[in-house]
Amino acid sequence: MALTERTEIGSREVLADGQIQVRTDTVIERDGIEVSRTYHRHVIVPGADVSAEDVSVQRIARVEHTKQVVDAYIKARMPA
Amino acid sequence: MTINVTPIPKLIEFAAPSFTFGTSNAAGSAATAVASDSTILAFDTTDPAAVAASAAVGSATTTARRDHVHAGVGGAGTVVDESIARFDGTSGASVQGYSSNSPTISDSGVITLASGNLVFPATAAASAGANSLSDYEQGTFSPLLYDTDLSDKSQAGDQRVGSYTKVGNRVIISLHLRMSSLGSLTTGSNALIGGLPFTSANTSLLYHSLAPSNTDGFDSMTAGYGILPSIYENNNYVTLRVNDVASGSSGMTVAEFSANGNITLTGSYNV
Repeated sequence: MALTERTEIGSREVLADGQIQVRTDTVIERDGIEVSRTYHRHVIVPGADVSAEDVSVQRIARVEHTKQVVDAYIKARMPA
Repeated sequence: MTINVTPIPKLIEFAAPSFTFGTSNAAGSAATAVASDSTILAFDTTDPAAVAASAAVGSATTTARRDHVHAGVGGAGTVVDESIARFDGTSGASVQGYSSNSPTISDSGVITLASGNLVFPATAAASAGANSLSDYEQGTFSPLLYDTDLSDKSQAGDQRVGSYTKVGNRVIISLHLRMSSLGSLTTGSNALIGGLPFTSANTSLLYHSLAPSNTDGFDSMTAGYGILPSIYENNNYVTLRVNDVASGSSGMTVAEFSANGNITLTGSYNV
């Protein structure tokens, strides 16, 4: 019996203003059969550094986070 | 030699209904062919079709009869009252029996799970229905302190624990954050706790308050003031304010949170 653990990007959702909601799944398998899956989430806002993100997320960010989208997001963001 | 001939009656000479048996049965409409208060049996020679995995239009010209048994129904086993039928995933045709673990639907439409789980798809099937429960999800996230740039400035926390449960459009969160370094965060900037699992709903003025507790290590903060954490619309972070002004509150600064500040928050917000 071999238990293995791996992570995969389970979900990428792009919101209307360009924010990307990312779900990272941690999958536990026993002899290749999935026995457990847990979720970890974070959100990437337009203009954020995505160099540490999964390549599939970087690809989406390159397309979605244009200067126009980033500027619009910063302008519309609720003042803290 | 005498030959006697008996006339054969002709049924077509009966008035509608064509003919009636018994003593108490009433005649039907003009379309009634046969009426009886006893039992009349009429069959063709074709066996009824077996129960199939999917419905199909039949071709029989003889209307349904009630004296037959369909083949193909198997595995009835112990059937629970009001249990939901299910089918074998391989053959597709066999109705499987249920044990006491059966989910049920009552006559009034109440669905009951006696055992097992209710599982939603990993990717929610969005629904705008006000009475629809379209999603359930639970997981973790990693909160971290940011200034208003919301970018990585080498700040670090040694306790970053977040848990969420999403039910429909409501996300319930609990988080604990203890910073260990502010990195190059702008200390005069307002302090934000980022890393939320979902962005809040983009509904104007729909603000959500969180309940703080277990605050500690705010070395630069004046004693006696309360912290007011909120999630504003279309945000993926918690805004921290301090009720330190007569008119209400002002933004909590990174300096006030300080390099070893820690906080526990619980609350919920719409997405």
